[in-house]
Amino acid sequence: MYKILAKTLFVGRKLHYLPSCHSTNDIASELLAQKKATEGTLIITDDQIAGRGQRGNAWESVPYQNVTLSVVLLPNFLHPKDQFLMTMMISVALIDLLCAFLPDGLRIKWPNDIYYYDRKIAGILIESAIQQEDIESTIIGIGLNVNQSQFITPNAISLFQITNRQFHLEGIISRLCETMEKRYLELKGGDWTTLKSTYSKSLYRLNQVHRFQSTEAFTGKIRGVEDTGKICIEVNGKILTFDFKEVKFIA
Amino acid sequence: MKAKEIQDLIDFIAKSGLNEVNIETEEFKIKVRKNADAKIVEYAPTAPIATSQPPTTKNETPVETPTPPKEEVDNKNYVIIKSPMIGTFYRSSNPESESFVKVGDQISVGETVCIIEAMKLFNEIESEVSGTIVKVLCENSTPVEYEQDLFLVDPA
Repeated sequence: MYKILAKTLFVGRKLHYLPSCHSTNDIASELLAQKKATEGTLIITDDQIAGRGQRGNAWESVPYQNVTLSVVLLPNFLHPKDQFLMTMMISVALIDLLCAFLPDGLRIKWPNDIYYYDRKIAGILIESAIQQEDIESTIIGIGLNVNQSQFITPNAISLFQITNRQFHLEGIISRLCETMEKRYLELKGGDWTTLKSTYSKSLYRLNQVHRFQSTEAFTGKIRGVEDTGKICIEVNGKILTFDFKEVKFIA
Repeated sequence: MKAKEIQDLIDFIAKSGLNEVNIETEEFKIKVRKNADAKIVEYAPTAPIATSQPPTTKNETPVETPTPPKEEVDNKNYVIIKSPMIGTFYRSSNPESESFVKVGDQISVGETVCIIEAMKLFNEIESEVSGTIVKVLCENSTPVEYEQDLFLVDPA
């Protein structure tokens, strides 16, 4: 069981703890359907049996070692076309949380992975329910590698592997609730400029010359993202924009 | 007349700026009326259509498929569920699972009909009407535009 002592108004005030479950996002979705979840409700598990990444990808986590949780938000103030701001909000909140432990090397790998240098320390899965043009609810699933010492996934890394110290999960979750609420209220309050610029300047490989794969391989520099979330890459002095499916990073 | 042809016609009319169009031929009579927040399509076949529904749905819902009296077939007011965003259209929650809805399925308000993924944000699109799915207007796993037609629904 978790005691979350976050200094927040709503994020983490209501908590559902499951010793083990398939996926916290699925539980959050069930709770919403049963009207048992309100804004800020957290769903935490110690053993996520079938943690999900993007469409069919699995999320690897050893029981009791990491943060695997979902939070329910009701961003009905956003039009679905602006929902990339939710990606920005949670990515920046994770950077806010982690920079207290990792003073350098933290980056957002577009669109929503948190990297420590070239390795992934946290992943995000955002699922929303939309009717006509209204976002009815959003479930943000977060997997943060904390105390796990070994990974099968080749480019994964944990806080323990970087700092060589063990962390209390409760403390990390409490702090995450606080950074998340702060950034979410910033978004809700209409301060999109701060969020966009903080997200953009934290981008992995920003302003560096790298190889990318689109219909063909090319060399370019990431310059930022559009409001839609499309990435802007400068190629031969021209800015080109790409959808998530249209471009890949080449190591 | 196929649903796709009806779609193309509606798109054409939408772009034309006309508010109401009536077309009548030997085979069909179609009336498209546009207003601020709803598009109502009235499609009345004057001749019987041989393949109005795919055979698969007949197997699953045998009770509902016998041809109703002619007056009921006429003046169908179909509703179109549209995409609220640019993205990729998925008919199931993951590649292994079954489609949320199929042609012939009864759906209710708030029921998930598909997922639109945009920039790794996964959006369950809920129906704003209850009724029967008449036609799926997009291929699974293909890109969709803002306001593109996704499903043709016969409202209950």
